[in-house]
Amino acid sequence: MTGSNKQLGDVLDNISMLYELTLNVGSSLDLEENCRIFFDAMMSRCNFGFVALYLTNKEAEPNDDKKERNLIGSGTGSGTSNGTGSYTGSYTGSYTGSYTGSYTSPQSLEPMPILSASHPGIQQLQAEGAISHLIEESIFPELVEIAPLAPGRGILVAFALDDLGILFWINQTRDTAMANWELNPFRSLIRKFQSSIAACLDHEHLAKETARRIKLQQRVAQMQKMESLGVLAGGVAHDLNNILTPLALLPHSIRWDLKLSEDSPVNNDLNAIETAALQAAEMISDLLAMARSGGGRTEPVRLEDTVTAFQKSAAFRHASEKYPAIKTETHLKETGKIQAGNSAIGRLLLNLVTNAFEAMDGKGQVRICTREVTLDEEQNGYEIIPPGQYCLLEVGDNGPGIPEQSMSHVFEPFFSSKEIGSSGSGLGLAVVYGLVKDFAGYVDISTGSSGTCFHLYFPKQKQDNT
Amino acid sequence: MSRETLADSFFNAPMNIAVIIEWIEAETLDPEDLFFFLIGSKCQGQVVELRDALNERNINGIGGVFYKVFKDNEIHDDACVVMRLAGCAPPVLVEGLCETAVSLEQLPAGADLLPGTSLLLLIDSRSTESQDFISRVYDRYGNRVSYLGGGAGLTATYEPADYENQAWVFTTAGGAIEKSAAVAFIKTPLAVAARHGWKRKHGPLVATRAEGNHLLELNWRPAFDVYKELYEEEYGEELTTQGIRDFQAIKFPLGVQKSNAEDLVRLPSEHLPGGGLLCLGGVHNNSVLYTLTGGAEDLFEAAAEAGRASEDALEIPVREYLVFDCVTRYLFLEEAFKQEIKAVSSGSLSNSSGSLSNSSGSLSNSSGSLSNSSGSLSNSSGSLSNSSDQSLPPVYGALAEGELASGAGGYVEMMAKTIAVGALGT
Repeated sequence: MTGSNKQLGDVLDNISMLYELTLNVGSSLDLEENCRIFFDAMMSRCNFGFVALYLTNKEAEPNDDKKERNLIGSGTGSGTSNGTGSYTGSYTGSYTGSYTGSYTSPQSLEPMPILSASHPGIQQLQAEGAISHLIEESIFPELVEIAPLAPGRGILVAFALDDLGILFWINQTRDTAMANWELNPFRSLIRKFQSSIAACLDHEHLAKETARRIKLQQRVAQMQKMESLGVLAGGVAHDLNNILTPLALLPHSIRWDLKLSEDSPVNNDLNAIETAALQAAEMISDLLAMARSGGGRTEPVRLEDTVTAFQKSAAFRHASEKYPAIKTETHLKETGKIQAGNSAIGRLLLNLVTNAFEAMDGKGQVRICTREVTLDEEQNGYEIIPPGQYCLLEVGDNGPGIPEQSMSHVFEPFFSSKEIGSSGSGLGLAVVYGLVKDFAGYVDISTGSSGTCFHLYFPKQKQDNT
Repeated sequence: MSRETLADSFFNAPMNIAVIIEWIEAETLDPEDLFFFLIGSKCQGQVVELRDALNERNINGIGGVFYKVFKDNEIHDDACVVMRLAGCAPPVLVEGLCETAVSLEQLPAGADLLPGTSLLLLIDSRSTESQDFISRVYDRYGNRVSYLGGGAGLTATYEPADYENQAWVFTTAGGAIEKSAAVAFIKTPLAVAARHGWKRKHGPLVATRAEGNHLLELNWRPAFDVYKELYEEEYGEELTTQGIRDFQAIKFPLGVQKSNAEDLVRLPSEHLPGGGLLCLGGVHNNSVLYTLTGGAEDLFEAAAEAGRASEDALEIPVREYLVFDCVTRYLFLEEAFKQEIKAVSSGSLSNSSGSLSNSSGSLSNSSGSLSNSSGSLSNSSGSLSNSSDQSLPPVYGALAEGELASGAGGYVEMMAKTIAVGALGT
């Protein structure tokens, strides 16, 4: 083959290889699938030993702010056009955060290192758009170190994907860095890949947002159900309270009128009636609390003071004595005041602590924390919590966590079969929810295999701000 | 039958399990010893007995059944190659290779393998998802290890009824199960290389529609029509659908373009209803293809290059070669195949005994029928006496249905019509 024929053959090879690779870009709107197909094709056709996609952290942890994304062709490049519609050169206003390994082929044996925007390699890449060098002289040694490579030679190539991220590859079948004229044919391919990644991320954002909204709708429906239950329970509780009043008071009068001795059989019967009436009264009290119709007096309260008083209470000591191998820790930071009832907060604490005790297998640790928190934006957790200043009360345990399927039911009355709540009525957490709502607060739950924590947000009193 | 005392490998023809066990036990067994078996197709029935015999003696081993196995110029379908290697992790049998995403949990983690570890992979050639399996193994280890292996079995050479339910790969611990892969982890120094020697003729052609092993369209036309036109233009003879099945096309494969490397060869082996072609090894959608041709000398040169490349990469003296050579190269070269094996160890054509002129120009009529090529060699005893040049390292190997070799940092894929050479160090 003559020299010119070989050159022509090489050009034809390059064109057909780029053609094939281009057709393998954007095969799926799923980021991983899209990368897998493209990377597999690159590795097979170009004999690459390692390919990695790094995304800027704002892309790796998506939010709603899509306006910032610099999509294809919208870069503010100051470099030179290579005649193919793409350009080499610097991107002004480049991303200044960090880059996270998003997808590699083959899968890395070790976690991908996070690359800072101040990394000299990233700086060079932002200035030049694409770089290539020998792996032994690599300015990304951390990447070369974790890539599962054969010992010896090879080159690393990196392409900036504007403010989306970086594409790296390592080719161990050549031992000279790629010159600009060799990199240029890849630029339009990489541009197309960048575009496909943007589409995948948009799709991922949309899918996540849709899932988030569905979850919120389910939560709202759940809250509405709790409201209805509360109204029903409140009505029943009021009537039952009236019915029970004679049962609670009359045994005493009967004893007095009949002058009964303590060991009289009738007195024993009256005692039984009295005990049952008191238990029923406690349950009604729980129902009223859950129904948010307790109507108790409220006053400015500091959470840390209430927690301190709670720890000294007989109710807490009694509960703790039942679980001697469970330790209770407090981390109390000074908070502002909230508008609440001291006794109601104490009751709420007792219910949560008892619930935590029962969640653990007889041993473990319960933590009670207070602190202030400012939410600058809406927080979407168990409930939607609006921005604002809050006094936060947290009760956590290191039990086995709440199963996902139970999460939407935890505040429903009688959901747990365990003896929960101060009265053992099965209303413990329902009462907590009702009391929090009574004080215009919000509930969030974090749970996992290492435990569960209830986060109660109470609005901080405004006068305390000044 | 005699035992080779100077090498750690043994060529036993015809295969005799008692003799093999005697050879193994002649030396004190080391806990790290791993025995690697290449078994000729006629001995498939002895696999279970061999495995039982090894298990009774707590001997670790893996193996596969191949159309023929060879040592230098001895090529048999009733022989057995046994290699004593140093294992660095227990061999594993991975089952269910007709499903994607097969579990690799039994395989050691990449971080647990010592530097310099090599993987020997024997994969049942009936496994429809073998490339998925290879990709997943590659995902696990990347290029930190070398890969050498091949497709075991007789898919290309026998009718399906002949091998139904038969197991072609085994490990002593995992058993012999069909559509599985046997994986060995060795620390014996190994350097690998693969070449095929086929040259581009027509192209580029684009696989505009392809699904797995089915190449349905080339340049938006039925793949068979395009291939048939090019074949008939090249050879001036008609290509029939039956002709493809009878290996008429083994001299006219397709090559998938790769940069910095030889094209990846794919062989049309069957006409599909609707005008497609069955291509062993598979073709990806949108792949750029070329038709390939080659003469015996091209193939010999490729074998010599593969031998040289593996020897160069080993950087220590070669003890012996382990070769997986495509069964279709054997069918194409027929008697001249011995020259190809010779070229591996001699590293050049000049050292091969000079019978190339007799074989290079007479291959176009190769029908590939087994009756013409089945082992008519003399009964060899397993001694070195039949090797033509005792100063060269011996070449052991098998006729495989798909070849694997990667050690220089490239991507691992199942190849076809290729010779994969592993140079084993002392």
